[in-house]
Amino acid sequence: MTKNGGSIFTDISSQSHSLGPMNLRRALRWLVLVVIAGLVGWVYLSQASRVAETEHHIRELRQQRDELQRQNDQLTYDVGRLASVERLTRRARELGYVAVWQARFVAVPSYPTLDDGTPSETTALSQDDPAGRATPSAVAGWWQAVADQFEVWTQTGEP
Amino acid sequence: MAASTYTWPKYRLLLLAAVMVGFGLILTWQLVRWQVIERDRFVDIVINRPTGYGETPPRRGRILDRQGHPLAIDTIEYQITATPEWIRQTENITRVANHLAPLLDLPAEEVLSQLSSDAPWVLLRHHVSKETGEAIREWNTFGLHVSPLPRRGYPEGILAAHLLGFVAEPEPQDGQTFQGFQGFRGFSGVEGYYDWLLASPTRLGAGHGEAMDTQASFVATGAFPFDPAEIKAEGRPDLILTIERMIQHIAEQELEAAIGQHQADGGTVIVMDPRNGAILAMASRPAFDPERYIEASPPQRLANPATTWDYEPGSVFKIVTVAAALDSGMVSLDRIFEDKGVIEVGGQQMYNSDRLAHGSVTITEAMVLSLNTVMAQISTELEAKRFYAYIQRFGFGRRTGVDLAGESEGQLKLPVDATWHESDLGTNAFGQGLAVTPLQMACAAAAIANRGTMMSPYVLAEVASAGQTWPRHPTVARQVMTPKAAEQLTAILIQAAEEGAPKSVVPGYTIAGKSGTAQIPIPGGYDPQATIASFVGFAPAQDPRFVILVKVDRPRDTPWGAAVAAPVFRNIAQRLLVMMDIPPDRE
Repeated sequence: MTKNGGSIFTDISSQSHSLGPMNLRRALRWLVLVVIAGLVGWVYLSQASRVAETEHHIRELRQQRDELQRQNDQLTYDVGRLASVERLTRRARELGYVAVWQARFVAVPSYPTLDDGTPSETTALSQDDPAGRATPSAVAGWWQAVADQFEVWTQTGEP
Repeated sequence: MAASTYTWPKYRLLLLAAVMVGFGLILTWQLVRWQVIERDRFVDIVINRPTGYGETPPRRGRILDRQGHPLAIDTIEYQITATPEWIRQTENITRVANHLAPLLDLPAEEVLSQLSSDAPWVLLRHHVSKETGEAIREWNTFGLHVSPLPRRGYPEGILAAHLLGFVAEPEPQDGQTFQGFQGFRGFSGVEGYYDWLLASPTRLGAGHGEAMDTQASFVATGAFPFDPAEIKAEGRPDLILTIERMIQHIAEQELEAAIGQHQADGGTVIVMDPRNGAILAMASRPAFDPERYIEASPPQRLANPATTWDYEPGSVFKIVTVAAALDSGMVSLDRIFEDKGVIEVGGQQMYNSDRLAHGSVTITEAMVLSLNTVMAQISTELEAKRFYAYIQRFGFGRRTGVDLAGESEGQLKLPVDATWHESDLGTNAFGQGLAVTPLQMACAAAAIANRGTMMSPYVLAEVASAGQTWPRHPTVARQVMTPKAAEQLTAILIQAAEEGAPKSVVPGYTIAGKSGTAQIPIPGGYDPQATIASFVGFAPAQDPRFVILVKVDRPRDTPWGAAVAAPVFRNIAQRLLVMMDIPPDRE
């Protein structure tokens, strides 16, 4: 109930009646304008906040990537420490290994030169000149000769 | 009365609508202001808010050896800061202080006083270990901030410390966050030279201009035909060096053993590949721990003795004098010199180290016996202009251009200099009165080993980033002598090593080299007690795979290069020959 005894519905209906068709149209126009402006504003702000949210998410992912990269570096460092040449040498010495000061080279006269040519050259050789190819039996024979030579060397010390 | 009944609600509705629209406009305006107009300001506040938080600091590129073993890499440490007001809102600060103090290694009273302050944020500890930082982070105390802080780690410890250099991190001043102190900088060695590639521009701080100059001069060498900006765009690149940690370890081990055996003050070993100028090892003692560079005392110890400190080379320098004599055609292998034990040049008398006269000798015998008088004869016959032209051609008196920070030029007086004296022509011929860096001397020997072609020394093999690699190309510095003269000199050096310094010889291999025993200049003359013992040589002599320079400072038991430095050369060479699978070249 209103102060003057009428209901609010009565007031509004009276009001809309009193505004007349011209005023009602004007009010509707305003209402439409406000609604459109509100919609545009809402669309813009929702998009802006979504962009901000996505930016934040990207930043978080970047930080996560950096954090993982840093942890990876830390692990590499820890592995590097454990596998440092100083530590490995010390451990090898503890296990009874010694530094190699001299190597004996064995001259092999019939060494089958599996040349360091490119794969295409090797293929060409195998196609054109089957005799020049290092066949499994040739390698086995050569290896047997080397093994025999090594055995002689271990027994006599003469290469 | 009726009019007032119908007009009053109209104004109420309009008022209500106006108020709502007004609120709506204010709200919209504020949102537009925060999200659009002043967006950057608020983002800045968030990033730099006074808590010590912020962007994760960018990582520095790694340094790896030729086999990919890490030599320098970023590790994790933390910075602990607090916003006292936030902590006071939710926690008992006395309890927090008592918890924190032992972890931060600080008195509880100090932590409590920090947490009681009205400052918007306080720095509790700049560097704490990974374990401590992670333990504090797990408490999840509101207002206590644990921010990651990079620290440079060197997993191989002191191995190649001088060559790698170090990264300095200035302590932040009060009120500075991480973003406030952009002072991370590489100093000395690889860290210093390649700071422009390893560090992000924001971490270069004050050294940015200097780093850019180094970048420009590096690109100008033409050895690296790539655009650094393109490489850096892929992220922080890794540097793969020519150094091999096993060779470096062998060099350091043998040097340290010799220093201990002869109670010497220190020394340097350089191993390089004469065919391309790649440095395989560069070791010096006394060394420092690059993770604790601040403890190095005196601070001069941080400089790389192989490239920064110069010394009078002594008899080792005779290889340059003989190279000049052979290349100029002034001396043939069968020419006879008359050694009277003394020679006067520029009014100054010069003697052999044994103070004896050896009579008629060939150039080979003069090298085997290391005769000063014959060398002085050669330089005076060549005359100053030609002699110094050869010295300069061998790279003395100027930087080698190696990609390591802090290289010096050595000291070479020329006839045009006011301080030059005619007697310098004689003394310079046997390595006195001038100063060279160990690297300059190694490069000179490498040029002879490489048939007269001097290669520019370098330590960076390639740059790697995001799965791509950019190799560096070896570059020819200059042709210092003809291949024929280089071969003749090699033959002389084989004999000089075998007869003059027999302890340098590796059984089964031909070694070429020359020993030197240099006096140390002091004000008014030379130190009568101390010497620098050195040896430079290469192997196998006819097809050299490496050059080794050994320099031992102030050995106490014996002063001679042939007795102190030559065995170090032999030990290193012997191990390298096995390691590199190099077969013997003689019975």
